[in-house]
Amino acid sequence: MKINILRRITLAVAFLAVVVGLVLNAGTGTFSSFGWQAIAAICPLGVLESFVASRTIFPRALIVLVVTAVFVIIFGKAFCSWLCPVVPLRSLLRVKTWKALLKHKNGKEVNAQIRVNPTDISADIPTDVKTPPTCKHCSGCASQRTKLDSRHLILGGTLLSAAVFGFPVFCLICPIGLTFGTVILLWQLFGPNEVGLALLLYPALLVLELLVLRKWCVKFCPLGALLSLLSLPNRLFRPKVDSSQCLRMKGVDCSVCIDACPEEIDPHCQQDLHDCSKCGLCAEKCPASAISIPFRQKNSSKSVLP
Amino acid sequence: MKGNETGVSSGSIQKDPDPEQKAALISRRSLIAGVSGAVVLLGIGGVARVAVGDTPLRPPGGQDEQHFIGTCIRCGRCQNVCPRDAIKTCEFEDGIISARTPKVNYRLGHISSGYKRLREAQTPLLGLLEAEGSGFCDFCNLCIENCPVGALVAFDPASEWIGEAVLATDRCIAYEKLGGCRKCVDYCPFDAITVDEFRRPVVIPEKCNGCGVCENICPASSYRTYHNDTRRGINVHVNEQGRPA
Repeated sequence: MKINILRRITLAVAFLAVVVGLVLNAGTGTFSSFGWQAIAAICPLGVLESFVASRTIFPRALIVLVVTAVFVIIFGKAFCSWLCPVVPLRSLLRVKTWKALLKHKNGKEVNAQIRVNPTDISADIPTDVKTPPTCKHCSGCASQRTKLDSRHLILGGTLLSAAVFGFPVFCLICPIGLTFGTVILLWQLFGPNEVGLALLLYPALLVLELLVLRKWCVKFCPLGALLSLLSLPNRLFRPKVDSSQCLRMKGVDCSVCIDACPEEIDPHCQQDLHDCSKCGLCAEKCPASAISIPFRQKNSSKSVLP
Repeated sequence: MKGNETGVSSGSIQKDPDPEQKAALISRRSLIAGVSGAVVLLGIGGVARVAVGDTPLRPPGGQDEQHFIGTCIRCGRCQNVCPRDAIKTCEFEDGIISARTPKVNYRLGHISSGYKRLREAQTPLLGLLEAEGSGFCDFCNLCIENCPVGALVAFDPASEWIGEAVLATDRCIAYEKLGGCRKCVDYCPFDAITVDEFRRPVVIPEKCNGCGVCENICPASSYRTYHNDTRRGINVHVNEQGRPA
């Protein structure tokens, strides 16, 4: 519970920081580049597109790119769930979220995904019966992802289109950029500015991307694909499943952690953990509290790693 | 669904995976979604390249449009940092390719006071920096320093220009009534505007760097639009030829 609240606070604070910077004309910028003067984080995908499209390498951006890569190796894809405004925006746009909120207010439990009552399990399953794990690939994961997916192809398409047409094409339709583009336009309403059709078009594009292409983050986002590739060497803050506690290891058909995961990964599956955005939802939702997110895996199962 | 027989193992569907085999490289659905996404991106790139509008007036250092549009990641920092509020963002009206990139706008904001100080200053640039108000460029370099990807390159206001100030003879009050107005002549911090024998303003392109003070203070059509556009009596135009020496 705690980690999820912390995550939401971080999301809100980061978003507000951008808005405050905009209002104060501080020059701090948006998530595409946020910082002070020359010291600023830059969107790694934007930098790559910019390099490819202009066929020049801007040294300062290259340094930032390297620093970003190091950051991603340490924290993995944490940007996706701790900073990216698309995640809360997408849930805000969904009817499901509002229904769940209403239900919650009426006192009904929303977290009804748990298919088994954890208290019954110890009674139901004889301790001597050792059911083999459901997964065929590795120890205990229910579904392993393919090595590549649509996001990676779109990442390729992003760089290819930048190279062919000589400008960062994806930046035009990037939902993060469009979100802040809309915020800038909204802010411009409070001043001597000309506001055009874009105030309708940017949100329309956002809705198209986030609602029509429902699984934007796991299926389409090329930034997510880049971050997931960069976090291949990441070993810190990875979810760790205590197999002595895990219900699935005890033969129960439990997939609460998979259902909770916004990246649609199975925390049991070591090969997929580079896609983990460190949101902590699996640890929070696990009915047996078998999942933790330690700084380092002490007895890391190196044999399983690719 | 269209069949996508692009070599990548068509037998790699996730149904009933072989327990001995490692995970497949990519599933068919992913392949189709990914390829379509990439094609859509290429399509957007093509359409944006074809449907280019007039080149917008870029902030200082962004005059090489080819380099600028290739590098700019539309982060909005130059716009955010401009102390004169002279940088706005392009919208789709300026061409799809330019959406959310910065453009200079000298028509919003005003030069409130400090004009005298501006004119009496030792160097015009210093005077401009000290002037009060918004809606012009004082070449403070903040946008160039803040550009994270080097889309805005180093700019010298003594030899380069943001754009060229061009008189709109159908708007200029001095053309309508000879000698009726000489505001731009008086305000230009770089003495780039003189008057001809009929006391009408004339721009000296060798001296103009496109700071926008003239466009900002021009009273013609500043409060209303006569001809369905917002042109004033004098406007800074894009001129990719570069400033004459």
